[in-house]
Amino acid sequence: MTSMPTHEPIEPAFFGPPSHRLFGCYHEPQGWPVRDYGIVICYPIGQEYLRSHRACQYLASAAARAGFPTLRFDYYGTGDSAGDPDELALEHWRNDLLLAVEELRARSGVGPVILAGLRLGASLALTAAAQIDDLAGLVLWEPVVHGNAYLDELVALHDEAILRYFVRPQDYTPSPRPAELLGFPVGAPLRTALEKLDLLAVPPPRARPILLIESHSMPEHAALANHLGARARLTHEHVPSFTVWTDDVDKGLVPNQVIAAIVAWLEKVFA
Amino acid sequence: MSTSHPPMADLSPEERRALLAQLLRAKARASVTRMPLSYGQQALYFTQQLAPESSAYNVAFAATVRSAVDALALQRAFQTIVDRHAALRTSFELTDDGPVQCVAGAADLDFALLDLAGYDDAELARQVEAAHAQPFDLACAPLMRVRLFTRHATDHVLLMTVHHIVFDGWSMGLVLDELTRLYAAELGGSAADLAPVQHQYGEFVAWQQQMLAGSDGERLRTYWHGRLAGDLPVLDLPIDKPRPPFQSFHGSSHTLTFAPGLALKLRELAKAEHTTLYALVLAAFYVLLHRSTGQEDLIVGSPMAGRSRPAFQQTVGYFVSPLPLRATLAADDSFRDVLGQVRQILHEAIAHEDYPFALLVEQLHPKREPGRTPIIEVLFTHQKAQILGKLAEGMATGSLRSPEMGLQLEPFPLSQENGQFDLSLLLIEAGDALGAQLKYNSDLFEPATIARMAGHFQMLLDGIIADPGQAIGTLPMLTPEEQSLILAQWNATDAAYPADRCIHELVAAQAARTPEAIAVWADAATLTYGELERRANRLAHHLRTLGVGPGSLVGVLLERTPTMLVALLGVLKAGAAYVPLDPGFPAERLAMMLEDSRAAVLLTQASLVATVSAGSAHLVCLDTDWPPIEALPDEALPSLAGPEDLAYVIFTSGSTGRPKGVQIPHRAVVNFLHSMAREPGLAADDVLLAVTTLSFDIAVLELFLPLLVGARVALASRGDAANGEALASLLVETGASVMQAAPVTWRLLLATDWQPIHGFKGLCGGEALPASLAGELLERGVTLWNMYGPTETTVWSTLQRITSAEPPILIGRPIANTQLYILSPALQPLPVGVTGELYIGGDGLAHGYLHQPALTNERFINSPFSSEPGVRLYYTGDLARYKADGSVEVLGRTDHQVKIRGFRIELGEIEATLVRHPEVAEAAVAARDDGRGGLRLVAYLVPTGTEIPAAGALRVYLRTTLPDYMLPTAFVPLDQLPRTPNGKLDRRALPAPEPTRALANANFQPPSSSTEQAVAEVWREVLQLERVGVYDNFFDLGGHSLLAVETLARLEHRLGVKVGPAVLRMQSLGQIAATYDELLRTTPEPASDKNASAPPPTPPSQGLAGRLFNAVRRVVAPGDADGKGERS
Repeated sequence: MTSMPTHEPIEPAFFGPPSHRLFGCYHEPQGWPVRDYGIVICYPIGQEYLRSHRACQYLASAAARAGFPTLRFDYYGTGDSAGDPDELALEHWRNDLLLAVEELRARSGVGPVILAGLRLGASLALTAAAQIDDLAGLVLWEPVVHGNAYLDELVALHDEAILRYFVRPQDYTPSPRPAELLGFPVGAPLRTALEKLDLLAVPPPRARPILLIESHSMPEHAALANHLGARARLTHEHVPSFTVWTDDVDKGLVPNQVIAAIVAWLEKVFA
Repeated sequence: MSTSHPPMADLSPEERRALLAQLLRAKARASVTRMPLSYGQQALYFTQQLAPESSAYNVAFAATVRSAVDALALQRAFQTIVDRHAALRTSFELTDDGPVQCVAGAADLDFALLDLAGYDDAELARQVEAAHAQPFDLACAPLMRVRLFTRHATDHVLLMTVHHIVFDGWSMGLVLDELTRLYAAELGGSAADLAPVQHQYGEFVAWQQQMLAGSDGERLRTYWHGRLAGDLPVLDLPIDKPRPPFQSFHGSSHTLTFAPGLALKLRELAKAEHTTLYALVLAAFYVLLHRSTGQEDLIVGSPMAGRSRPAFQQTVGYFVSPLPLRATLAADDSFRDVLGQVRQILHEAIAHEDYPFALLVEQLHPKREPGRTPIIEVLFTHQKAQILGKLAEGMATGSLRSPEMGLQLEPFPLSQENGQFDLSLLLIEAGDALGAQLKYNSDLFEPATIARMAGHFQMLLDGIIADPGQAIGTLPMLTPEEQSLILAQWNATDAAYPADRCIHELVAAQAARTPEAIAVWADAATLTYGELERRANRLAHHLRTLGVGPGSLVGVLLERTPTMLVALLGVLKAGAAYVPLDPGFPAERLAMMLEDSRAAVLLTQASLVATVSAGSAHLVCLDTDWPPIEALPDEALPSLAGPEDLAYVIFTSGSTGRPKGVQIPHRAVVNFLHSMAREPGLAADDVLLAVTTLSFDIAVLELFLPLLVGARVALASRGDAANGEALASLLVETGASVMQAAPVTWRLLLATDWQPIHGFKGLCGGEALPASLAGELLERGVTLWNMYGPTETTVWSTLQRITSAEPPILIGRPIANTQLYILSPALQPLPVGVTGELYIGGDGLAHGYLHQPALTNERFINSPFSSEPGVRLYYTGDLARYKADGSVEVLGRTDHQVKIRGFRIELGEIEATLVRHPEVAEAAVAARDDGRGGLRLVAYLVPTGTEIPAAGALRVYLRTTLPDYMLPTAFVPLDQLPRTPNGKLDRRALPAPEPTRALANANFQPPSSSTEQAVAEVWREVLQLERVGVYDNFFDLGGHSLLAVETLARLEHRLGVKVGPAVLRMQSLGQIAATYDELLRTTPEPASDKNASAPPPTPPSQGLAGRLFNAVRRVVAPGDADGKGERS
């Protein structure tokens, strides 16, 4: 009478107020029993978003197979969500995250929610945690700890790219704060917000389990681990792998080992 | 045979005769006739072979002899009996074609004399019992033993034991009769004039086979198969101990003492009803069974002598066969109706009695339940002493001087208690006297239970005699002592309490005593008793100005802060009742509740205003609108409300789709709180961590009980209440000494390292407390209480202190001024152990359902146990039974209400809502075990089109009217809903959901079929793993898309068929193998010229993008200079 699924059961979901339509993909858990916790996946931005999209889809899929209802969504001004790229702002995205949590709850019926963010998505998740009612835990996958440093990195990559691969206009001078980085617009509000971003200044949520997972050891991760560990139940995992948003991206790679480690942690902590 | 004897010529005539007799005997002994077994014998043979040491089928006659006994005469008499009856010379042998019986021409009697001089009674009894209980080896004839135990010349015990396979009750009568005459003859030196036995058992066996093969056999077979068609009932007697999985034949018996004159009255009634005593008592037995189980389809076995043919009436052997008598009883049948039915059944059964029961069992092939006898579980035997002969008659009535035998005999009480059936009623008629015995399986029943049942039977008989036209459902069954115990003593819960005061008055009194003590603590704020009172008074003043007073309802829609308590008390002080509205509910549901309650005022806060449209209610935001209220006077208003005025109205799930409001008066709450303060107990130094939402009535205990005794309420926020770590840390932070919660919350807490403080009280309720959870809580050191009660009888109505996790976990006894009644559908009180419907009476009863008088009358009935007008009972819909000490066990529901995470849910409400969706044609919802001790909702849907709507979208749809806890966790599409033969939904046939990978992974299962092994081997090679199991998923093991392509190529090469890569993503190894198998089955033949599978795609050439990205990689990942990463 019932049949095995032969395709990923992903539900497209448009949510948010009409003036601010966001797009997400809802993954209904497969199998029994279903868990009491839902997961919202927060994407990174820019090039990282493009390169890790498939990985995020796999993560959502694996989590749903493990019994967690999962939603991943595009921030306003990105992907399939409404909004123009020049409207990008970290504040918006924090609100978007709150809307996504509501949407996950509406679609799945769960109460407690786990935020799983990759790169800036992880940073976003941590900064928004205090505003989330009934937050059950966090997964921070290679979070951006210092926004300033991140900006500097992007600027350097951008300059490198310009210098190596494109014909330079004669009057070209590299700007310390370009309006566009690697094809991705960065307006003043976003830039300012990123400059101010410092995860070491964000109070961690009390008593919640947090997974900090990385493939390359960075001192800022260790610092963040220390900071979070003071108040939350922190697990710091190092899973050697390539970093999908930077290595061999043309092959559509998915760091399955990291995804497996994340899902294993979720299964263990949220039994 | 002795070969050494003197020559014949040297022998005297007597010696010659004796030698000849000896030689003849030897020859006879050696001559053996073989024949098949009767059906009854076959069944017994196999049963005995399965338990060779069992003496369950040893039939005995035992008598104390208080006169001198001539042992030799006795021995000769018994030997003659053996010589006369072939059955007693029979043994059994197993051949290749099955068992056969072997009748020896002669067999020596197994007779022994035992000298037990000096043995006391107890030791004597042990010896006799041991001798009786010795098992028989069916291969050795005779299957009969005689023992004479002698203590002194006039004190003996005679024991004759025969195996049932060659003997039955009728045979006993024949044998005892012959014994009498033979012994007397031996004594007198004369020959007994016994007629030779005309027909031996072998003839019966032959006759039986012939009969069954002929038209008679066919006729009988048709009859019995018709009577026993369909599902055969399984009798659920109220047993005391769990049924062992196999029969052990441990039995015991209870003798019923009938009042003098009862026999006469019963006979008179039988005569008046034109029937036999047998049928009358059998009908009464059916009534006893019906009333003790509630079941209507009942089978009672009644052994028939099996000697319908006169030819066999003098034959010793195993003829008796139980007839399965199947009757249907209903509570409103009159006894006369039942009697009429029983007469008819008996009449027909006797006309068809020759069909062997053993053969019937074989043919009907009923589902064998472990530890149960097939088809017949209860026996009714009528022993008419005439059948047994005068000796036996004397045995039945007591002492007998047998003049023929010259012996003074008394029955020797031998426990022939083989417990073959769960229960047997043996009716013994001897002359005018009537006796009865209830034999029972002592592995199932305690003696006290059987004694009670005997009492019930006697009460029923008295009632039947008094009025045979009475409905069987209302015949008195409880003895007066039982009635008094169950109805009065166990409900003696009268206790004084301030029945003239309202909740807020009691809180005010406490506040006057300890105004500076902290009443409420929350993360952000605390309130002392004094402040709480003052603010509540101000609010009450304000509400009065809005016209709120007794009879008004005020909605309360607030987050969990001290303001919530101010609001509740304020409403009560104004004389009104509050209606809790949960901020987590969907807007439409809240609007429905507001509308139904016709609330005059809605108390809320700014952040929640948008969640509901207030309708006609006047909105007061207790945060933003507070300043003017702050200016109002803070003294208490004179109380306008009285104890019968409502304190709150709480909405609960309604089975037809709309929630219903339960109206609870002050009196009920005050009684409840007063009782709780005593037991489990709360005192001023306690701190109670309140975790339950206001819309669940148990919050009343958490918020008001502390305020009554001067203790402190620590309020947990909604988020913290759902998080184990947060709860643990709050318990420590607040120094909480008491918490109340449903099992789901206790489990969250137990998953942390929380250690309760010494004396920490845990109250568990809202749904059944699983024994495993009880064990864990006890182990953690919690003083544990199990609480039970529907909203309609005010929070909790019973409680039980739990000190052991041994199931069953009971709900215990009623609280103060509360009564429990466990009743039959005809509202008759039921005895201990019998399951019935639980009703609750007393001071906790709600007024009823808001604006629903019809529903109120349906659930709140007039108490049949009180002569005062207006005394009601609430029908809980729970099934329950009493334990012997008066505590109560709940066993299930009579309807489709379930408890999920402590919330009460009518499945019908969810089904009704689902079916309103345009793409859903039919819906059924079931609560399923989630494998972790909890229940979850699964919805089964039949779509109007080809597919059911997506799960997430369905939930969004449902959420407009249903609260979160009523949303199904899984949706299963079905082509159609399973139905019973009469068209009703067959809930039990709803399929179980597929397990998740995690659940399945808990048990590693290696590949077994050849396809599974092939797939596993390829996976192991490609993924470089040692071990791969049936439940594993390729990607979860570390596979990725490129490896997937390679894997599928290899599998295509090996197996000859191709599957799409999605299959590897979605399915487990086992499921994939099944997919290949299916394809192999349906694919005509594997293509012989398989195209070589395309090689894996090569990496795109390093174009501009590649160079860009490689550069990026080099900069960002300095440690990964070689760029060696895995490929996905």
